[in-house]
Amino acid sequence: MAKNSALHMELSSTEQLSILWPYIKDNFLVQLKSIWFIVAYLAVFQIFILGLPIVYTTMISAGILVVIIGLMFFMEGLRLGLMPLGETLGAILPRNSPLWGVLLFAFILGIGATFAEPAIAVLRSAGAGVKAEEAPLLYSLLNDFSGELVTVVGIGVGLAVLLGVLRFYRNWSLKFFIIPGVIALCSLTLLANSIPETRAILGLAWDSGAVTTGPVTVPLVLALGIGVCRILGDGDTSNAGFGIVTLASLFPILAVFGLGFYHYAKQDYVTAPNYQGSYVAAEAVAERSAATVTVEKPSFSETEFRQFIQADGESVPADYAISYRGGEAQLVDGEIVVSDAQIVYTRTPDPQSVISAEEKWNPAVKVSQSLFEAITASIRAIIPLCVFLLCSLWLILRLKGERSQVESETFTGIAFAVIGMSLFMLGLSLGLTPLGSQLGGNIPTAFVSGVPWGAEGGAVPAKFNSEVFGKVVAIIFGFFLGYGATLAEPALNALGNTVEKVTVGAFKKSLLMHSVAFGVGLGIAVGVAKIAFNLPLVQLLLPPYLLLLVLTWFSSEEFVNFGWDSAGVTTGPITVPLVLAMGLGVGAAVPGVSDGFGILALASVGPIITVLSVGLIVAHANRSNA
Amino acid sequence: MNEFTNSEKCSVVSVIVPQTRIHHCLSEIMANWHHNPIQFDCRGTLVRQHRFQRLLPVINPECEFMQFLVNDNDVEDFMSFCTEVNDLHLPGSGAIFSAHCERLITNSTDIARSCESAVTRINSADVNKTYKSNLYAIYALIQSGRTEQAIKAAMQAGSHGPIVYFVEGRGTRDRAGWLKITKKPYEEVVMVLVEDLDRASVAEALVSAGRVNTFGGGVLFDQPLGRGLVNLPTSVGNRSQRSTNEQITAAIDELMGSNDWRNRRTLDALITRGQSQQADDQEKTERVLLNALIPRKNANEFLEHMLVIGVPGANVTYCKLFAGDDGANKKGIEIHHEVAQIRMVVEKPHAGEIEAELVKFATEREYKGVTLYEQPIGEVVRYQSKRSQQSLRAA
Repeated sequence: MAKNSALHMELSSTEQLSILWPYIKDNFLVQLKSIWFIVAYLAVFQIFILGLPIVYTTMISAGILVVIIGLMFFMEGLRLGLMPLGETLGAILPRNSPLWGVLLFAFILGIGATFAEPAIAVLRSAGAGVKAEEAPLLYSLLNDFSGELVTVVGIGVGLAVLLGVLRFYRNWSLKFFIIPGVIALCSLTLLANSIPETRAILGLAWDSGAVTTGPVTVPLVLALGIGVCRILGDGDTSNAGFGIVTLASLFPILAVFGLGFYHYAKQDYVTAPNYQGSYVAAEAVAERSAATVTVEKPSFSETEFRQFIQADGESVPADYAISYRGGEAQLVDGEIVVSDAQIVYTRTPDPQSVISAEEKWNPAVKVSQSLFEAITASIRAIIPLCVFLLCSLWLILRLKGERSQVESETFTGIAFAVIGMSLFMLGLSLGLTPLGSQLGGNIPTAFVSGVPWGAEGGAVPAKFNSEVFGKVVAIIFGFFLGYGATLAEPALNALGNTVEKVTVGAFKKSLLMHSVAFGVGLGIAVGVAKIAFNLPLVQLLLPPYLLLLVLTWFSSEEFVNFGWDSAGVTTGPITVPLVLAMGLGVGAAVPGVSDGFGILALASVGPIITVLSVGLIVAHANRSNA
Repeated sequence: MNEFTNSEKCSVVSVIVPQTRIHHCLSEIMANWHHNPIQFDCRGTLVRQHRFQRLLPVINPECEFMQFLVNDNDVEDFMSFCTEVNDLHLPGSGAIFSAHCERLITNSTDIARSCESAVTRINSADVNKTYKSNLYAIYALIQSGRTEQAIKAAMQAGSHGPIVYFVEGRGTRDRAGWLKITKKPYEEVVMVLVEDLDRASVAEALVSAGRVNTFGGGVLFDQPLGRGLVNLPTSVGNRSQRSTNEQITAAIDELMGSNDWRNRRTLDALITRGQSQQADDQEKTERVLLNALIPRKNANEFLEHMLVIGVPGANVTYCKLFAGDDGANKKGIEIHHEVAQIRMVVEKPHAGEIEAELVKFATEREYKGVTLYEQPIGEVVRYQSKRSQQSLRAA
């Protein structure tokens, strides 16, 4: 765009600063507000409830600061660059391109977005503890057929974006996609559950729906939808542009089920007759044992014993407990006297000795290397998509002989997004993830040492009560972890902003965020319960989805769109590592749990239920009283 | 390329209806009249009256704001038609009002047609009597964080639940080079329709609660309306309580013969009133509201040019234009036209120059469908430093 020199004012550096400073301050505060809860909560829980010090404090604090700065850049990048780009393109497409062209574009965009988001890495880490012997089909899908897995998920997302855009052309209700989709998913789930081999892929399938939609795809797809709806459709614009994310969460589940059944029918997974790949058994076992929490039984050493003898029983190391074994109890003068008993000194475990808080920085973490990785990952996630969008835009306008409408801010925005995402990912790996995984790992250990929870080593009486109590504490922890992490999730923040903007402030961002966060919290609490008590996933997934069918049917189109879309965006770069760390930690302490799958799927159901419920309650209150 | 034509006998009729009614409303109007509406989204305000209801989150109703350019002779008929179609005489159904344009210049044949030719229709006079002719529309551009307080204050001062819509601000920051990125994505306009008696108190409440007269705080102006009817939903109350707060207030006003009983100013309000009067004192020059309608794709260049020729600032609302030929563009697919409605408050003596300049620019660039119109406004309140006044004169 030609710059108009007459437009520019000369500003002194003080004036520039006076404009820039409030902008920086406001954005910083906004991000601080979204992230403080999860950070404070994790720290408080670790220090006060588990009574453990935080290791690597300097590194974690630096990391969190970097996360905030990264989010600041990233959100501004979305606002200035990615979202206007998506919206402009969405508004130009239907006017200048035939329907098939628009649909082709949507399909390619969906596939591209899937390859850009590092979703498959998440799925792999969730399945880190999968044993080929226990779940051969799942193991094969994650390892031998991981390429196919990404492809089918990509095609699923591509179809979803395609249908989502077609929906805007035809004014179809989202309900007519959701209800058959959910019914199909439920029957597939039941079918898969009835076959032992495919039962294991349930978690993978449902989680793949949850992870496909990340912080770059969601805002882009939302903006695209809004752009398309600016031009198309009727006057009813409140929900215009939404719904693609929902479909992009449902279709990959179907696709993964399809792939699973295909390989089951073909019998070419590990241990099946037609298996072609190379499988090394030792690898998986090694990974598994690394994740297991080992608890050493504390004991007194020889030297301590000698000191004890020399001091005539006066000098005992500080941390001990005295109990007695055997003996005969008699009632003497109203007192119970135990004679001939053995007095036993046992050493009690000292939590301070397990983790040393002296370490301020994890020597294994190389900042330069992490930064490099973060930059590569964010460039991979943002640049190809933007290039694709810019090229499409240029091509369409070129064909129609119109001038480019891309402003210089868009490029600033894209640069901001890349910088922001790099810093954000670096900060995550330095700060939030170590904090989360420390705590995730500590949740079971703390209860193992204090209260014996599902561990072999403990020998305190009344074991049953404390085990349940410990698990309940873990479940409550899971709830707030989900709640706090969701509030910090960038994709959800972008969705909240969009909803507020599209409804002209009628539907407040905070209302959406908190109902979604509450739902995610509930979902994660149920997910932790699933792992802690080793409950079957089917029984936890099907009832909520059946409830959702009813809620969806009765809800207004607007809430169906917002609720289902927010479900798709809840699982992003903040929630996933935290939740997985906790899920794997808890799972490792419970015998018989092989993977951390399922929590994410449950975390996606929760928010839909809460948002739809809020919608129904408010609608009811307005209707009955107005 | 069409030539620009002038028109002096034109009014803007605005209709606000709940979102669910817009289909019906649009199809009826498009079938019976040749006026093409521009439409944008806005939100109403709902207040819960019961204590237990306050626990529930409030979701304000979404409304649709439509504007029609109508020939003065048609206004009455058109308004009664709209009122009937939308049942606007019922409580909670919406609002309709008309405001006169002083001068209108357009090169869009559709708009010229709807402004020039009066359609004589059989008058349905029975609805006419319900219109009020003493209404003012107060528009306040307020920083987004302060809107809620401003709305509350306005309602306490006796207005109905305000209508809020988003605009994109243009002005200082667009001149600041790369610092343009610091611009807020949107600002909120709070609009209230008040009777002349309430005009001052509501405006004052908005100014003080919304801190309009502080630096960067926004701008407030009011506009005299031809006639109008306000039945916007405001509160979620008890089922048995059928009358709205405004109805009660109006009844008491009538009984008391004045609205003095409502004047319960706190010390705080008195202090800020003093300030706002100071601000008023600065505003000696008469100002007008200059509106421009332009296709969205040309809006950016147009806005830049406006800033170049010395318009201090403007706000932009992106609207849909229903031109009636929407369905014809592609096979059965409705494709809308998008227009930007640009509004700026300018000094009356300069308005003519600016208009001429903009018309020249639009002709040079061969823009189609450009419309400019001027509307009289009353009081303007905004922050004015000595420096900005100087720079305005210099420009």
